[in-house]
Amino acid sequence: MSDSAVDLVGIRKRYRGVEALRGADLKISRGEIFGLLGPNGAGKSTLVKILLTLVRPTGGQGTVLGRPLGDRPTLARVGYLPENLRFPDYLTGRQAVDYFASMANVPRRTRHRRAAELLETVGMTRWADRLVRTYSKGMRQRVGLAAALVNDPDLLVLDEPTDGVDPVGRKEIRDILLAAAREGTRSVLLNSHLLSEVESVCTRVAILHRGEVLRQGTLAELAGGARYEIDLAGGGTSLPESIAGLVERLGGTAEAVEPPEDRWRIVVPGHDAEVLQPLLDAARAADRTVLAMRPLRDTLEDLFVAAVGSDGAGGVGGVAERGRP
Amino acid sequence: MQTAALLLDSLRMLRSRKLFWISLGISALVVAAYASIGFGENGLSLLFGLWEMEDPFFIAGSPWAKTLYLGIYSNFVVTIWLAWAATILALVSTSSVFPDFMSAGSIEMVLSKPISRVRVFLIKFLGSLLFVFVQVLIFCTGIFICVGVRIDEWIWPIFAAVPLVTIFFSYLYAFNVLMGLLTRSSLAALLFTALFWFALFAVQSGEGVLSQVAAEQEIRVERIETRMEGQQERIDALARSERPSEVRQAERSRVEFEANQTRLAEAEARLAAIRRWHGPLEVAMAVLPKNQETIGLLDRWLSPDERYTMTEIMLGDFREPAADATAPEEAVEPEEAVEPDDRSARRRERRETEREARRQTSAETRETSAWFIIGTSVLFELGLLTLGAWIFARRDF
Repeated sequence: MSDSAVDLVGIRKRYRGVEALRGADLKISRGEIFGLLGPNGAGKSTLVKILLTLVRPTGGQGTVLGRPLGDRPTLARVGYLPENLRFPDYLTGRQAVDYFASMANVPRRTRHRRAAELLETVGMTRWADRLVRTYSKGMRQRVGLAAALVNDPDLLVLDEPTDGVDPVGRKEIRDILLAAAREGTRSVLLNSHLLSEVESVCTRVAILHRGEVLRQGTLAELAGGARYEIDLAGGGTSLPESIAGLVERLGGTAEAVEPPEDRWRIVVPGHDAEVLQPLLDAARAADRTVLAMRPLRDTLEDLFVAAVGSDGAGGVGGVAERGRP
Repeated sequence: MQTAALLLDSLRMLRSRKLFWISLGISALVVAAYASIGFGENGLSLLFGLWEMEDPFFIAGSPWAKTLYLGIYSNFVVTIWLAWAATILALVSTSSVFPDFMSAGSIEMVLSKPISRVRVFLIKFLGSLLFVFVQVLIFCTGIFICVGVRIDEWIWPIFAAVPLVTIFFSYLYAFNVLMGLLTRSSLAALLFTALFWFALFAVQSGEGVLSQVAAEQEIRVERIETRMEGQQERIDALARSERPSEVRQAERSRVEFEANQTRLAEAEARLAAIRRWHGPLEVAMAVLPKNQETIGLLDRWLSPDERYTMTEIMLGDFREPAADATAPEEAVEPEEAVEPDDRSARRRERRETEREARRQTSAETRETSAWFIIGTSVLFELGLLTLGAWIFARRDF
């Protein structure tokens, strides 16, 4: 059995002269939650739809759950929640989940039980027998999530699952997602433009821009720029040589923070706190007060902006705090 | 399991459409109106006996009463209600099935399941036909009971309307689906279907009218030829005589013969012109779905006895003393004695010609094989569906 849930190489898609994907590579391991990021029009949805046989690639190859791309029987092991999900408005929530279970070839006996369990999981049991046309957007997404999980998929593909859902609903959907991923070897592909959401649940991410995967890896791998920030106060307006020398040796920077004039901020690269101990000792010896010491790293938004440049940032609705500890 | 799920989904969709229930309600009214027609000892009655009409032909138990009652069903109720008004309601109701299904956020959930697109397409198409199938089945059950009670015969071929009307609807719906796939708009699909239906109607009506006109012209040509043969014999007989009166008569006959020669040439030229237009329409008719003829099969199956047909009732010929199969043939014998100058005789001849032509075309239609009518129509439909399935299977969603 292949270790990869998804392994795509050089996927290309051309729509009437417009190149939506230009040789995208993507690898998702089994059991991981993978985030697919990119500005609007980057080709995220096209890539997801190629995985699900909804769109035919112009070129490239790959496997999904160990089977060639486009293999229809494999779809029995895939769950999908599309963007802007629309159920037939004459169905109730329970009927909708049951219908998609039948379409995924879930046996009748398992189907009803599984549908009931999932409706319970997504908190929709109370409204399960109402028509979906009476549901709010959040309720529809929950039922959609239940429908996507009803065949107990090995690969769950979610396209903007929290789009249009209120903050409480978002958190609940995220929790369901994490619980679903924890169940075993299930892989989750999360396509979202909410960077904070991806950052909080995904173990690996790929950044797609203009039809190409620019960067791909774990957040730690991608997140260069790990550093410590130390704030000092007191002892005069100048920085003693003992401290300045150590900062220079550690490859850091020091600058006065005004006002008041006796405050200094020191930034030292790295993520090992041990190397900072001599610096802290020197500060105390020079009669300086250590006001704060913060470990910092680049956020996903920093990574994203660095990867796609300013033209891509406009299409991202992420609200990740820059330089968040 | 997937097929059952898709069909169950179609049934649920059907049940949710208001037009389905409106259509069913109107069907109930039509059945009630049909049930109100009755036959007594002296004639027929309408509105459950509120209005009575004495008629020695349409009395309880007479073959003409049965022909009329079944003819009203097959020629009017089915043709006007099921194959016209109810079909429009069904098209309005089902026209949105494919455009809605293909809308973003809806189709992805189905097509991302392990099922072939062609299968989804065909089951969705068949599922939509349920709209008509269920309607007509309920309707025919009502009619079956009415006929059983009114003419005391349980006529199972009444249910032939169920497949016939469904097939008739499917010709139009296949086109509607194709338009829906291409335009993704239910309204555009509906408009194009209306145009297609109108085009079929125009071709069928045009072909029907030209068939009738061609048959009339053929009869006229035959009559002129028969008349000329008689005149030729008379001229030949008189030519041997030397009596002045007979010589003058021979001269007159020769003049008439020459006038008939001109008439014959004109009639043949007209016939050739009609055939020039009729030929392409006949070819088009052979290829296109045969809506009217498909529905017409019902009349054929319901009144297999050719002595008692709705055509005879509508022509009024059944009232003639010799109302049997041979009578109409005798009635159209060419009248050699007719003087072309005699206006009333010419009118009579024209009427006879029209009737004879109508009988001929009606007989030709009845002789056309049901396999040909349905087979060629379904073949056209399969062509549309194949194209539709190909587009559906290859499209990116």
